[in-house]
Amino acid sequence: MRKTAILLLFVMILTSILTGCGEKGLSFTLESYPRVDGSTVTIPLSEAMAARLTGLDIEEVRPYILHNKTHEAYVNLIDNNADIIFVTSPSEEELALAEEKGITLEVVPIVSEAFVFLTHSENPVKGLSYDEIRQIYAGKITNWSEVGGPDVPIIAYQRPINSGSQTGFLDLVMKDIEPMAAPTEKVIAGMGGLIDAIAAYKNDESGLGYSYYYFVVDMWGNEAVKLLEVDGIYPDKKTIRTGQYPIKTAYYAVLRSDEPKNSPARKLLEWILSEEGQQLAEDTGYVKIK
Amino acid sequence: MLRLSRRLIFILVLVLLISCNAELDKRADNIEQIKDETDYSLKGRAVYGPGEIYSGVLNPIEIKEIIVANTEDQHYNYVQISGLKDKVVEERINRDIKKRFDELMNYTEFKKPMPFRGAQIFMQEDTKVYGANLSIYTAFNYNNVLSLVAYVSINLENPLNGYKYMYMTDSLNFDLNTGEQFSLEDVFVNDVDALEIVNRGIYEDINSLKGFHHVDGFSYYDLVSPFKGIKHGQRFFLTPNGINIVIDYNNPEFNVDFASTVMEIPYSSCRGSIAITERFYNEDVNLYTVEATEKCLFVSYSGKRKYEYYNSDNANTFWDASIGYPEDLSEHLLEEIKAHRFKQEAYVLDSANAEALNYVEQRINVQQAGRYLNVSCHVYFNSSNEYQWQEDYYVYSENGELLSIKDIFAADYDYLPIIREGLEKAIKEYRLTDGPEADALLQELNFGIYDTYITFITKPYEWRTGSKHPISFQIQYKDIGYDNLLVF
Repeated sequence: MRKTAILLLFVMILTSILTGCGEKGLSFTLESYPRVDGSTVTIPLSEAMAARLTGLDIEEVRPYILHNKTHEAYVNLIDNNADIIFVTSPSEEELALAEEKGITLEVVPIVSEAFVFLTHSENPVKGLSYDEIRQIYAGKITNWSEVGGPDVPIIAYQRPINSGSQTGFLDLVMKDIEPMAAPTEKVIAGMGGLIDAIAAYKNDESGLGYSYYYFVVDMWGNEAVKLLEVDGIYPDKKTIRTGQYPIKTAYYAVLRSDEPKNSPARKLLEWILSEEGQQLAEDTGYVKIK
Repeated sequence: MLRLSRRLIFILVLVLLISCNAELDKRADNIEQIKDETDYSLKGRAVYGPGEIYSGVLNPIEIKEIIVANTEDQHYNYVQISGLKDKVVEERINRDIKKRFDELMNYTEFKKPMPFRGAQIFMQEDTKVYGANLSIYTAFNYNNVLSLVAYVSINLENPLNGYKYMYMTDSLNFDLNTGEQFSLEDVFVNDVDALEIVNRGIYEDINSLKGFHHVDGFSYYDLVSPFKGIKHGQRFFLTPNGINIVIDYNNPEFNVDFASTVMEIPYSSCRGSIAITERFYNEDVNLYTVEATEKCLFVSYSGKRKYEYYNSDNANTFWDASIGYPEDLSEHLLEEIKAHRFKQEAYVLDSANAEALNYVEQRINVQQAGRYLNVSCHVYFNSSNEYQWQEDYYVYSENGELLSIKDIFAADYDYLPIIREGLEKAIKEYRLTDGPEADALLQELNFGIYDTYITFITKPYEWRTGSKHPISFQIQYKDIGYDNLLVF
């Protein structure tokens, strides 16, 4: 009995040493790490995971982690050139491609994300309803006084077509409503000519802009930017995680359903959903999924 | 057995504790290192604001280009300097340049992957390098400061991923007084937060480039995570136009793919905060084996700018006009510039048969040149049987006063002879000896000031029937003599 206890203790201590004082469970080498791909927005998460699970510095793993952007990542996964991808949700086109190639995708949310609206910190308006936002961007509400603010016009900035945030805006907010024409400004194009471009958000009392929470919350220089409540709920890590904040989305891990049980990719997915993995995601600036 | 096991357990526990403590020590070391980085001591003299840089004195050093390879697929070169009195400083600088060159050669020779995200994926055993360049050259050589830029590029090909071009930028910034390399903070006066100023510039640039191109952006300047601000050690180099911030793998918030990018912050955007001259330059101390004799006015070609755009398509005439100016231009000057536009428009209508006018293109551009503002107004117009090109220049003082030609010269300097000489030479070069009289053209000369010269423009002259455009010529500041000029 005592021998067994000693042996058990020996194994525990040895395990602790080998796993680095009990901080790590799953571990990989750069060679055994699954082939990953993904969207630009999940690069920091992907790099942080690889660094944690290989025990290397983030600068050391960075040259080994390549995210080819969302669509190419899906194609690479479907074509078996990647084992797991970290992306936004699949488009109709990507689902159709998978179906055409006889691949079923497993899409698992790994971190929460929200679509947030912002204005100048001194704008007295605390929040907008979801419907008010849609009416503003449809061009029906045009003055802050109509939503409890000062009598100044609302300049409702948009993002360039095909940018991630504009896609999110159309899919998560406007849905079936056509947004009004975006404010534009002249910018220098090639050969020194001037072209009309979607005007960038200007943080003054007229401005209303949008972005994903991840990009706004810790952005340098955003101290004069205020996030707006939507339907009375302020976007923060808790309200986004719990789903109280109404304009919520997520970033996902996607695998082929034929990915073997206990494969490195499945272990990686399991790990990111673990408490340790979720804490790493939060430390990297994302919002936990649970 | 039991005794042996106890000993073994004791040893293992000891090993465990030591290994954990070693890890803690390592973390403590890291914390110390981070602390050291934030406690950076500025180099050279302490300089307090306001500090400006409008011009520079060219360092009279010889910069020799050393070409190591120059073939169809490879070009490698670096520079070595000579001409400093202090040979120890000179050798130190040359040694540092060569050392950096050798380090960077590792990337061109495929010994090391460029540290871009995912670069290793392209460096398989069967990857071929089929083109490589490494060039170190001078970006700024004024006021006892030497700023060098290194560009490294490689073209790779591997069977799995195909072709890939990678491009990185490195820099070396030397204080020629000591041969030491200085940091971004040294460019700024002691009593400002240098990183804060640069961060503000980057933040504005992110926004003006329609920032937050997240999820899947398409700008060259893509954010992958919120910009948290640059830190001590930020890579940069200087040019006569401003401070160039190199955005690359050292700024992981940005997705630069496999090519570094450069963001320029003009000196004019950092009013009162630039310490280069006062920190590194003393006109009473000559560091060189020969005297410095050349000066350069720093002209800003970038910065935050606004554009106003006017076009109309009336009857048979298409008008295309624009004004570009610094964002912080005063209302007063903007009104003046608009008045110049209307004056030029009136001239077009006076000069051409309005009904026959087809096309008018008018470009007005305002830029900082030293402490002055240069306004250039170019107009081109044509009708079915004639065309004309006209350029009008205006120079304003920092107080917003329009300067006449005499205002840029010392009071006791007779500038007319050198201008007449320049004009007569131009007339000769254009082979217009039977054409305009220099005296007549001299009466209506416009001028603009640039980095090393003044440009002079005449009123449009009819070169041949139906074709009118001005005669332009330039006079170098050094030919006038810096002491005869008030622009420095």
